[in-house]
Amino acid sequence: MPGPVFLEGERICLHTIDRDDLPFLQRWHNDPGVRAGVTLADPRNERQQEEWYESLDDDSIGLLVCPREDVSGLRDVTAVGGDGAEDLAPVGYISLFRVDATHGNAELYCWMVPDAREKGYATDATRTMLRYAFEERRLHKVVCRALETNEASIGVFENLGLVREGRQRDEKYVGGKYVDVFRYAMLADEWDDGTAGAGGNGGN
Amino acid sequence: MPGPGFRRGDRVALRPVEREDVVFLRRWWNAPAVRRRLPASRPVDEAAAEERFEEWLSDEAMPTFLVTPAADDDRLGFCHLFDVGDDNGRAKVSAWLKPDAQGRGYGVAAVRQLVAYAFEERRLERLSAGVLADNDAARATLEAAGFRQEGRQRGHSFVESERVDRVLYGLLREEWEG
Repeated sequence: MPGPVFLEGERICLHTIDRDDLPFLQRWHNDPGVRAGVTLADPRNERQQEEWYESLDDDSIGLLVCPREDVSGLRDVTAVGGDGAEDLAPVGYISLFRVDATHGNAELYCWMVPDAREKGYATDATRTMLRYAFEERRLHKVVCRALETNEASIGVFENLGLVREGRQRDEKYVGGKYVDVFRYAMLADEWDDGTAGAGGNGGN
Repeated sequence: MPGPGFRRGDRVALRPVEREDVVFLRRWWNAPAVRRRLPASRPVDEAAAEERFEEWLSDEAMPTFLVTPAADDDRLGFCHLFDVGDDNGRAKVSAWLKPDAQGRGYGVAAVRQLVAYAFEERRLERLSAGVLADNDAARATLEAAGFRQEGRQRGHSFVESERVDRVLYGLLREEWEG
């Protein structure tokens, strides 16, 4: 039961996190198929998930990704008359973190639950968060990183026009071996109001 | 359960904010259509909203009110004084309404109630407010409530990739037609 809408994309909205959402986050933070992509190797119990929630501060923003239409495919959540979005199911998480206002940069990462992949949600969520970073937070640069083996994330970054800046050799240890990480970034003057890649197939 | 009424006019009432209202406040603090005008660019999650609410309870310099119609307890919006300085007798004013409550005179009525509270109950002598220059509705509301433009801070805020001016308004007790 995500909190209110904070940012609106084309097909998804990004919602604030309620305490009720912590089981969702805990489940997927522990799930091998999700945490492999974001290279989380530590188990997270209920208490640790709550501590994580309480520790969110201005240097790190986390939002839940929800399709604009609910499961019945009929209702636009932004038009819900109530105070929240009580019966919506989140399908992923996106974060803008390491926000450094002095240098005007931040990092962004996103994961989607397996059933919600290949629908363009990750692309839309990433585009929406980039818009926020550049148009509301006045940041100059946003960095996204992905394992070399993570074709879905790399597809999202390239679809949105991020530039590959480098290969970090043996940066992560995943599945018993070291894996390179690609570093992508977009600069504020490369941001094109989200129209870049609009014709793409959505990637992740 | 709504809180007890605090001030009641012909059009709107102001009442204390209760814990049950935090869900309403949080929804609109996060909504792009409302926060763009404030402007506020950070998400307010459940924990952060509760923290704000708790802070108000112990902050005498920030009396907060839920705005409802005079006749029932629909939640229309939120208004408050802040930076209340008793030595100098002044405070700042802030108010917002949810989008479907705008354009119906509730804003002017709420600001008038807040002004009357400040001058008649809090013994203040000066109120000020700042609004984004492109917020025509808020500017008209302040002017209808008697505020006069006193200044303009050029390029004050960063909103949708652009620097936007902020217009400053003030209202003195002696010029107020209560």
